[in-house]
Amino acid sequence: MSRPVLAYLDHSASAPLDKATRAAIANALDCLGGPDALHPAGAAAAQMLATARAQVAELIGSDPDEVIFTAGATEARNLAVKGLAAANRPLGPHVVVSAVEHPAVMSVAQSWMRDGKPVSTAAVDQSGRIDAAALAAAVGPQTCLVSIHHGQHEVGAIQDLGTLVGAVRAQRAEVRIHVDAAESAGTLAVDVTSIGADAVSIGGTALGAPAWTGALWLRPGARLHPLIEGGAQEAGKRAGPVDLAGAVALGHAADHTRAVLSARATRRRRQATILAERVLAVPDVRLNGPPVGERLPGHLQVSVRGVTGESLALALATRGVCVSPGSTCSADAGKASPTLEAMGVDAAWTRGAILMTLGDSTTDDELAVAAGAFAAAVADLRAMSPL
Amino acid sequence: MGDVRIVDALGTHCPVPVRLLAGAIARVPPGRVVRVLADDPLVAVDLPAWCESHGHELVAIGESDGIWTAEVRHGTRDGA
Repeated sequence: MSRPVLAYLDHSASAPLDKATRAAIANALDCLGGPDALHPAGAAAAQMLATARAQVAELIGSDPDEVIFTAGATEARNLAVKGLAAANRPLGPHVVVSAVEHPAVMSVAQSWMRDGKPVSTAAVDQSGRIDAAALAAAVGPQTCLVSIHHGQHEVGAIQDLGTLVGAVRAQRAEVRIHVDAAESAGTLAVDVTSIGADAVSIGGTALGAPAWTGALWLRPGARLHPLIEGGAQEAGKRAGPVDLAGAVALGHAADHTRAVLSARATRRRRQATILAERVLAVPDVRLNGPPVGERLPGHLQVSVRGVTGESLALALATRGVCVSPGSTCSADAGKASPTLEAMGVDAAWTRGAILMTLGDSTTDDELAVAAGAFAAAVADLRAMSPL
Repeated sequence: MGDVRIVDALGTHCPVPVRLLAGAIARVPPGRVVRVLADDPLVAVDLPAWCESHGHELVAIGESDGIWTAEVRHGTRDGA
């Protein structure tokens, strides 16, 4: 029997759907036709899809034709880095990533390295911010692709995209640049025109859509190979029937996000400040990444000396508090965080991280419950520790 | 995003590049040029034939580093 959830602080993994998004999905599920069909039912589906594409485009400042729907942010990231590198082979074989990219990018880079492809990683500072000079220095005459992120998925660092993209372009203007905005687009403005990249990934969870939804913005002429072949759907960049309900949900969430972005960010920063003050009052607990006011709104990762992130997440779960150990994307990895290691965090802290992410439904009461449970769980685990 | 609409058909195989071109041509007025990027060599055969049969003008087509670039002007006669 599952335990009651008293505080849900894992919104970057999966967030509750609001009623309007849920209704939009149900409406799409009732649509019989496929968007490519010639009959009236198909026309209705095509109109729904066009509306969703326009809503996503409006959020990120693009033309609707430049939006490719994917099954989640992981696919969008994979499509971006694999597709850009494959289609732009004439630029050279070399790829540059920051040292703290999402596993969906990092794993691709590691696969390339195993295959003998030249890959460079650019260093970050102690807050997780990418060093622009290091990024530029990594770019050379054989570099075809640079992949960086906007909001860091573990420690919430926000990258200065203008400086980073400018530094890369100054080294080699024609390099293809992918920006992973999957964690940030729900709380920070993402304007693809001003970013100056060739591709930008977004994910449904951050916007308030299901985790299985996402999209890739692609600059016209950037050149991208599809991962999935076999049809002309999504401008030939993703074959197969489109997930109409998912696309509609993402479009609806994008529309809602555009309306509430600023207020949402303000609320989450206020709540994150409250939670951080209470959690950091426990001895030997540190905030990883930038201060609350300078990181992704509602995004807190803390490390606890003397316990592991997994054991703390489980101890909190028994108290009805839902968090992720370190990163929502490697909850069962049982390893020190590569992000914290890249930031130069001392080994005493790299295994004891938990990630708490807030959402639109988070209440101040939940924060109080979570803070109390955190203090009690840390005390219990330290009492059991042989160290 | 510029006067020339770009159809990036890289990584797709015929007939997908021609289907993507057909969709793009339908959305621009007569006289406008659509540029197609593709790396399936069959576009050198399929695309001129499709332009001929549908009344569009193949302005240019060429290959460099394995990538075919074709420019097609929307003609006045759309075939069935």
